[in-house]
Amino acid sequence: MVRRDPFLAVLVLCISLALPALASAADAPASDSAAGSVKNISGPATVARGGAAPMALKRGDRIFEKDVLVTGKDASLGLILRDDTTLALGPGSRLVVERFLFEPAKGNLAQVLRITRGSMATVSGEIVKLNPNVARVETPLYSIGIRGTHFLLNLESTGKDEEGAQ
Amino acid sequence: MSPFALPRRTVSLRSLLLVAALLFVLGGCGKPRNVVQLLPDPNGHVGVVSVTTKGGSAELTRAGCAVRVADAKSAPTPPEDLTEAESEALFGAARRAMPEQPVRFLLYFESESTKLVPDSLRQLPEVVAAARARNSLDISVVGHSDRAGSVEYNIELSRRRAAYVRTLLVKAGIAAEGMEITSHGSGNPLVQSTKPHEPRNRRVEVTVR
Repeated sequence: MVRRDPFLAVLVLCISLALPALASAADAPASDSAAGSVKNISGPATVARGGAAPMALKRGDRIFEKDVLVTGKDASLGLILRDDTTLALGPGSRLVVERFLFEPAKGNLAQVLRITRGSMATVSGEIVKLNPNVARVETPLYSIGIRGTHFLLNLESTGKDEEGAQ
Repeated sequence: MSPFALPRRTVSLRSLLLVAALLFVLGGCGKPRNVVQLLPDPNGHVGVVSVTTKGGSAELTRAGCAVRVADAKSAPTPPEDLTEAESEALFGAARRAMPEQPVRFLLYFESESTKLVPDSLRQLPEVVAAARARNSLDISVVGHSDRAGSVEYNIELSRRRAAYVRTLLVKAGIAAEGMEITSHGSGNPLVQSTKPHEPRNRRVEVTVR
């Protein structure tokens, strides 16, 4: 019979507790591969990543899962995601890339975008084509299930939650 | 003149204002501005989206139709057509910022080699032109192989194919930093084939975004 070593058990416990903490302490994005990139930008737009202060975005910048994107008062932002979803934010918008997973060969697919204010236009890409059940857009009032492809949405301004790019 | 005339007139003014405000709301100027609209995609195909609140759900299936949401507890309104002016006011800026659809090229290779077949070599200027036209800073170059040979060999072969295509694109003046190369080996075939040697799977897929 294998004797349980209390020291080993404590060590394993410590490591398993420390690992998630170490992972979240790292400033790296939630996934090491990009979810997409900035295709065009007009006016001020920022990204907040891993709890850090918002940084100005520029053309060609990579976008990652969990990024918080904000457009200023007269700004707009065009993005292309890795599954060739195209999307654009109008002025005064805030978008969180909640979930993005595109590994078609392994069947790992997910796309959850959360928009909390402003407006968005999008044409869905490969993820919706391969499995529409894993793609949706969430807002504070409603959620959108996507079986394809091109749609627009707008959220009435509440006057609250107006942080970020100005 | 009655001493009550003035207050009475004030009251009637107030109710007039109230009626005016009510008419304004009923007249549509107060319609909720939380709107989802469905459009045809760039190929003319019309898809389906569903809009769901805690109070219910609505499906958009017709090009140009839209639903409104008053609040999180109410069901979306039945689908209706939006005027061009309202659509422009709600979504115009976002629509104008929509990126062009990405374009994908398939370049094919000789068996067990990084040599492009003649047709694909001739297609290369098209890839370069697309990258220039879009001013692209995001190009994926993904190498693939058929099933002939070991898994490790095919991953290495696919990587070399992708690297070769990148070299050709960089030589043609496309910036290397916006390019990402990936190797899928034989694991992601374009066609399922019983033969290990399948020319259509010996390819590099270039996506210009």
